[in-house]
Amino acid sequence: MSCRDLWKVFGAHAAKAIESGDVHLGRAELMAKTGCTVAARDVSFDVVRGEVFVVMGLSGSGKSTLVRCLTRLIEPTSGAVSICSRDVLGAQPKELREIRRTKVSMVFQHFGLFPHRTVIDNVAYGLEVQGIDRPTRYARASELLEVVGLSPVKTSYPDQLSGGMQQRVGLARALAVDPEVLIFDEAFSALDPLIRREMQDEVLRLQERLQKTVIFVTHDLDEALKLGDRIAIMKDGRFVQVGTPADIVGAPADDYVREFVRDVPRGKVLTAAYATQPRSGEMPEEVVRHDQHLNELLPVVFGAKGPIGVVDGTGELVGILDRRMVIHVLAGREELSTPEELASPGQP
Amino acid sequence: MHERRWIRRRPARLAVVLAVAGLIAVAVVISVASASVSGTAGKPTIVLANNSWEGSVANNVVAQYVIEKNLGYNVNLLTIDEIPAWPAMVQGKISAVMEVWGHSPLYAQYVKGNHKVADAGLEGPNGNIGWYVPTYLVKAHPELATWKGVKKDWKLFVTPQSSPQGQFLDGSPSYVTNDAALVTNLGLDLKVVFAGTEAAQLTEIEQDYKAKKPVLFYWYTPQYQNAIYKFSQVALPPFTTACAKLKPAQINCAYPPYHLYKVMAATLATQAPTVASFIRRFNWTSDDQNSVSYNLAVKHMSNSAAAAAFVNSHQALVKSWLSSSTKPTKVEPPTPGT
Amino acid sequence: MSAPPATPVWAAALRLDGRLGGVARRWAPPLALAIPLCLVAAALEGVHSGFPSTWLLGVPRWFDNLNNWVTNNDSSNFFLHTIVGGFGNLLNDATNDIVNLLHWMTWVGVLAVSTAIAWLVGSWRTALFSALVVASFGVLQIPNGGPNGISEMWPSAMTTLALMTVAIILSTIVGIPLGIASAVWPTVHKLLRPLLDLMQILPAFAYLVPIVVLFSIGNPAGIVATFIYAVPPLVRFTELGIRSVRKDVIEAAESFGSTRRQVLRNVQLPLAAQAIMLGLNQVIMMALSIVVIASLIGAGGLGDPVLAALQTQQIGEGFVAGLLIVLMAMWLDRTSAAIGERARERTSTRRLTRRQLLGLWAGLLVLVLVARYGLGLGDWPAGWGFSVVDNATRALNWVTNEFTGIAGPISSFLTLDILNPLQRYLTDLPWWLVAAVVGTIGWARGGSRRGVLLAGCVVLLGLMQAPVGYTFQGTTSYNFVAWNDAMETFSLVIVALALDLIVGIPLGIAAYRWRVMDRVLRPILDTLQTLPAFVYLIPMVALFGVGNVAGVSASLIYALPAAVRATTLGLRAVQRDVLEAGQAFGSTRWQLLFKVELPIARPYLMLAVNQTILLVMAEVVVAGLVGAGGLGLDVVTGFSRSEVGLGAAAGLAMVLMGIVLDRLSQSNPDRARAAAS
Repeated sequence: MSCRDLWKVFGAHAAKAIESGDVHLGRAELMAKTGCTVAARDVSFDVVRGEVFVVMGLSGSGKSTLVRCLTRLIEPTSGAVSICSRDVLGAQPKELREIRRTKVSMVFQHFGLFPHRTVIDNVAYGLEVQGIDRPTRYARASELLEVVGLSPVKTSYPDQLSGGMQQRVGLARALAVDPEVLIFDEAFSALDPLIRREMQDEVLRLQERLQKTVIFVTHDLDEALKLGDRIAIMKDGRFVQVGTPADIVGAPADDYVREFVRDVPRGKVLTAAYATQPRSGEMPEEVVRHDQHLNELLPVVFGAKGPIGVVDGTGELVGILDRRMVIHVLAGREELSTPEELASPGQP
Repeated sequence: MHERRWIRRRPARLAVVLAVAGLIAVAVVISVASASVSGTAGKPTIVLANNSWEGSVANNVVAQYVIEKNLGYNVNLLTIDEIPAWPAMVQGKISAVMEVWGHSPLYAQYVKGNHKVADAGLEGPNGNIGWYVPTYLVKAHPELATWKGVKKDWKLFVTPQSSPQGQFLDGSPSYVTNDAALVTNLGLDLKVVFAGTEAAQLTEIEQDYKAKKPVLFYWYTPQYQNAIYKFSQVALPPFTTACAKLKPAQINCAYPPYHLYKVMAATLATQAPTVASFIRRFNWTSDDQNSVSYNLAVKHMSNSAAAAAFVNSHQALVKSWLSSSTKPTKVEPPTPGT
Repeated sequence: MSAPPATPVWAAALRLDGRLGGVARRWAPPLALAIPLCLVAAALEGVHSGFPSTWLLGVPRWFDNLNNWVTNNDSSNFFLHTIVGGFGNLLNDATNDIVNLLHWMTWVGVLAVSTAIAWLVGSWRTALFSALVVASFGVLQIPNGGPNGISEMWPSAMTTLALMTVAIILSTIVGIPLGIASAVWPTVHKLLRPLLDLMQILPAFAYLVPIVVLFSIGNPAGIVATFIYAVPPLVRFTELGIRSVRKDVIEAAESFGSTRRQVLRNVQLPLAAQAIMLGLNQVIMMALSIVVIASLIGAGGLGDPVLAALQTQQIGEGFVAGLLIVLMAMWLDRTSAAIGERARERTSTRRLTRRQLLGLWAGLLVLVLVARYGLGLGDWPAGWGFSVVDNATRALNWVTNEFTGIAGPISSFLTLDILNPLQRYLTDLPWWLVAAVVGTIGWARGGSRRGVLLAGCVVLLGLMQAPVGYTFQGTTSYNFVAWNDAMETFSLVIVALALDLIVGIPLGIAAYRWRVMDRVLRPILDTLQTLPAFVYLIPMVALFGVGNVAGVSASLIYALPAAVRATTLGLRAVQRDVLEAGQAFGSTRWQLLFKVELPIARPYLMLAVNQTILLVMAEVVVAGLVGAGGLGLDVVTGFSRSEVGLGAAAGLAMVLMGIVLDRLSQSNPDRARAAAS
C-alpha cells in the first residue's frame, strides 16, 4: 500500500489553509489565524507485503489520525492513498466499504469489541457484514480462535475476559476476513508489560506465517524497535525520520529523535557497520558480518588479538571494526558519520 | 454450545408471543360471544354526566337506579365538567345532563342553534346563588345581612392571602361568577380569592366554622351541606333584567334566579325512547335531592342503596316519571345572564 | 475543536486574570450590553412597573379561533374526521379489548399471569411483590359506595392497567423510532429538542381541552394526554443510549465495512437497549403520575375515585385510590426494571427451556379457562376485602387537627412576610429590567446566544396577554395579564424551591451518611413521587387554608424526592480515592463533607435545583386547584371553563417561564445531563 502527500487539517477552513500555505505556520499562529490544527502534514510512505511499518510518536503527534485517514475512518483533507493498487480516497461509499471489508483490518487500542456479542460473534463480525452465512463464518472464526488460543471461551462475552484475551479476540477478528493490510492502532498500549510482550511475540509469529502488510502505531519505542522492519518517527503531524531501527538509533535525524532514542540499549539495535572504519585489502583473521548486533560482538571485540574484519552479505571485506569506536557508539557519545558512508566503502 | 443457545432463545420468545396472542384471541372471541347473549344486548348504554357538586350526583344515582331497574338499560355515570359535557352530548359520549345551572350561551348554541341537544324541561328545584356568611357571624354583626354591612366590616374578612384587603372566597373557577365585578362596582374593599375547587372552598369554610371565624363566600342552594352548617345569605342589590343585560364587568346586582333544568342528546329520543321519556318527566324538590345527597355524602351510603332508599319511600313519584300519561316537565330557556 | 478563549484586550488592560479575571470575562460583555439598553429603556418607558398592557400578540385569540374552527369542522374535515377520529377509535378499541380480556381472565388469571411474568423476568421477590400488589387491588376497598358508587377497586384498577398498557405501547411505537432518528440525523435532533421541552413543561391542563376537542372525552383523549406527557423521556433515553455507545466500538464496526444501517442494527441499538429500557421505565412512572389528570377528560379508572374524592372532600377514599395508583406504579416499575436488569446481565441463571415455557403458558391458559368456565369466577370477590378508608380519614383528620395550631402561624408568616411582599416586589419590576437581568445571567452562564434567547423569552412571555376586556364570540371574556400572573407564579416557585432545598439537601446528606436513614427515606420518597397530588390537596387546605401556601406545600411535597435523591447521588459519586486523600490529611467527618464531598457534588446539587424547579413548575397548575394564583390558576380556569385561548396562552407562558428557569439553573447543560444519567 502507499500513501502520498497526505494532509489532515482540522477546522472549518481546512482546504483554504492548505491552499494559502498557512499550514506551514506554527501551531499557535495557525490556530489564531485560521482556527485550524494540523494532524497530518504532507505524509508519504509505502509499505510492502510482508513488511512491518511502525508509526511512532508521542500522544498528539497525529499518528492515530494518520492511520484512520488511510481507510477514511477520518476523511483526509488532501493526498492519495492506495491499497492493493486501488484508490481509497477517490472510492465511492460502496467501493470504500468493499475495501474495508476485504482488504484492510484494524486492531484497536481499547479493543473495540462489541460488548453485547459473544467472542465468536465478535470474530465473525467482519464476515457477517459481508453477508456470509453463519456456518461458514463460524467455521472460519473457530479456526482463528484456535490460532490465538481462545477456543475454550468462544461463547463468553468480552467483559468476562482479561485484557490480553480481549485483544487476542481483536486480533482474531481482524484476521478473520483475511485482509491484505493489518493496522494496529496502539493495540497493546492498554495491556500489562508481560502480556504486551507476549502479544508482540504473537504478532511476530503470525507475521512470519501470514506475511501481511502491517502498519503498527505505537508510542512505545521498545515495541517499535522490536516489531518494526522500518520505523517512522512522527512529530506534529510530520514524519521526522523514516528508517530501520538501526538507522533511527544510530543516526537520529535531529535532536528530537536523538532525545527519543537516548536510553535505548544501543548494542541490541546497532550493528557492526556503525563501528567500522572503511578499509579494503587483506582479510584479517577475525571476521564479523556487518549486520551483526554489537552486543553479540563484544566477546569477539575484546577477545581478538589482531584487527577484526567486517564483511558484507556476500563475504566481501568492507572495513575494520574499530574498538574505540565500538565503545563510543555503545556509549552514544557521538555519531561519527552515517552508517551508509561507513558501510559502503566502494563509493567515492 | 453457542448453536444451542441460539436455538433455545428464539423459539422461547416466539412461544411467549404465541401464547399471549392465543390468550387474546380466545378472550376476544369469548367476549364477543358473551356480549351477544347478555340481557342488555342491542340497547345503547346510557351515560349521565356527573358534575362536581353533590346535587348533580344525587339526580344521577336515582335516575341510574330507575333506568336500570325499570327500563333495562345499562347506565354509566361519567365524571366531567359542566361545559365539556355539551359537546360530548353532540358526539354521543353523554346521553343526558340531569341538572343544568343557567348556561344560556351553551343553550343558545346547542339547543336553539344547531338542535343537537334537546331541552328536557325543568328539574324542579330552583337554584339560588349568592353571597353567604356563617349564621353565627350575622348574630354577632347584624349589619352583615346586606352588602352594605360587608362594606363597613370588610376588615373582619382580612386573611393573609387577601391582605391588606378583605377576602371573598370563591369556589371552583369553572363556575362563572360575577363576584369580581360586584366587588368593584359596589366599591367593596375585598379581594376575590378562588379556592380552585369546591372541595377546597368547603374545607376552608369548615375550618373557619370550627373556629367560629368570620368568612364571606360564594354559595348556593340546593346544597346538602346546608343541612350540616348554618349559613345566611348576604343581600345584594336586587336582580333586574336591565342589570342582566350589562356587560359581565359592569354587573352590580344579585345573581338571577336559576330554574334548574335537564338536557339530553337530541338522538336519545330515537335511540332510547323510554329513557328520553323518563328524563323529560323526571322532577323532584330540593328536599328530595338533599335527602339523597345527605345519604351519599354524609352517611356514606352506596349509590344503589341511597337510590333504593329514595325510590322505596317515593313510589308514587317514581311511577309518575315512568308513566306516559304524566305531562313532561315545563320547558323554560335559562334566564339570559345565567 | 474550539479555540481556547484568548484574554480580551480590555481584560488585559485592566490586568484581570486568574479567578477574578474569569468572573469578569464572563459577566462584563453582557453587562456592557445590558446596562446601556436598560438606560435607554428607562428613558423611553420610564421606570413604571410591569409590562405595558397594549403590547400583545393576540395569542389567546389565535387559539380561540383555532378551537372554533376545529369544533365547526369536526365532522366535515377529512383529517379531523377520518384520520384523528379513526386513530381515536383504534385507541378506544384497543383499550376496551384489553379491559375485556382482563375481566375475562378473572381475578385468578390476572393474578397468576402477572405473577408468572414477574417471576420470568425477575426473581421470586419480584413475583411476590407483583402478587401482593395485584391482590391489593381487590383487598383494599372503599365501603358503602363512596364517590361515584365505586365500592370495589378491582374494575377501576383493570381499566387503569389497560389504559396504561395502550399508552405505553403507543409511546414505544412512536418514542423509540423518534429517538433513533434524533440520534442519527442532527436535523431531527434540532427540531425535536424544543418540541420535547415543550411537551415536558407544558402543563397537561393546557392541552386537555384541545385534546377533548380533537378526540372527544374518554379513553383516547386520556391516552393521548398520557402519551404527550410520558413520551419525551423515552425519546431522550433512546437517543442518549445510541449516542453514548463508545466511539471505538463504532469505529471498529465501520472499519470492517459495516453500512450505516448495519452499525445501527448490529452495534448501537443492542448496546442502547439498557438505556431504552430505562426510558420505558420512566414512561411508566410518568404515565401513572398523570392518571388522575386523564380522568378529568373521562379516561376512567383509578383516577376517577381520586378526583371524585377531591370534588366531594372525601379524603379517605381519595387516599386509598391514590395508594393503589402508587402500588401499581411500583409494581410496573419493578417489573420493567427487572427486564432492564436482565438485559444488562445477559447471562440469566433461570431461563426456562422452550418446553417448560410453553408448559407454563399452557398451564396458565388452562387455569384461566377453569377459573372462568369451571368455577365461574369473575372479578375479585367483593367479600374478600376490607376498608381502610375510615382509618385513613381518621389519621388524616388527626394530622390536620393536631397541626392546625402550628400550620396557621406558618401559613400567615409565609404569606404575609414572604410571598406577598415578594410577589408585589416582582410585579412592580419593569419588564426591561427583568429581561436584562435574565439575559445577563443567561449570557454569563451559557454564552451570548443563550442570553439573547432567554431575554427574548421574557418579552415573549409578556406578549402572551389578552387585551383588556377581551371577549370571544361575545360569550367568553377573561382578563389575562400574563406578566403579573407569571410573577406571582415565580414567587411561588422561588419559595417552594428554597424550602425544598432547605429540607431536601440535609435529608440527602443524612441518607448518604446513615444507611438507616436511607432505608427509611426510600419508600417514603417513592410514595411521594408517585402519589397523586390530588390526594393531599385537601389536607393541605385544612392545614394552611386556601391560597398560595397550600399550593406551595403541595409543590414542595411533589418536588422533594428529586432534591433529596440528587443530593445523595452527587455525594455517592465522589470517588473513593479522593475521599481517601481527604482522610489521609486528617480531615474530620464534617470537614470531609464540607471541603471535599459537597464541593465535588456541586454539579449534582445544581441538578437538584434544576429538577426541583421543573417539578415545582409542573405542580404549580395543580396548586391552582387549592387557590394558589398566577399562571396555574389561569390554566385551571382555562380548562374548567373550556376557555381554550386562556388555557393555551397561559400554558405557553408557563413553558416560556419554564425554559428561562431551566436554562438559568443549568450552567452547563451537557455536564448536568451527563451527571443525571
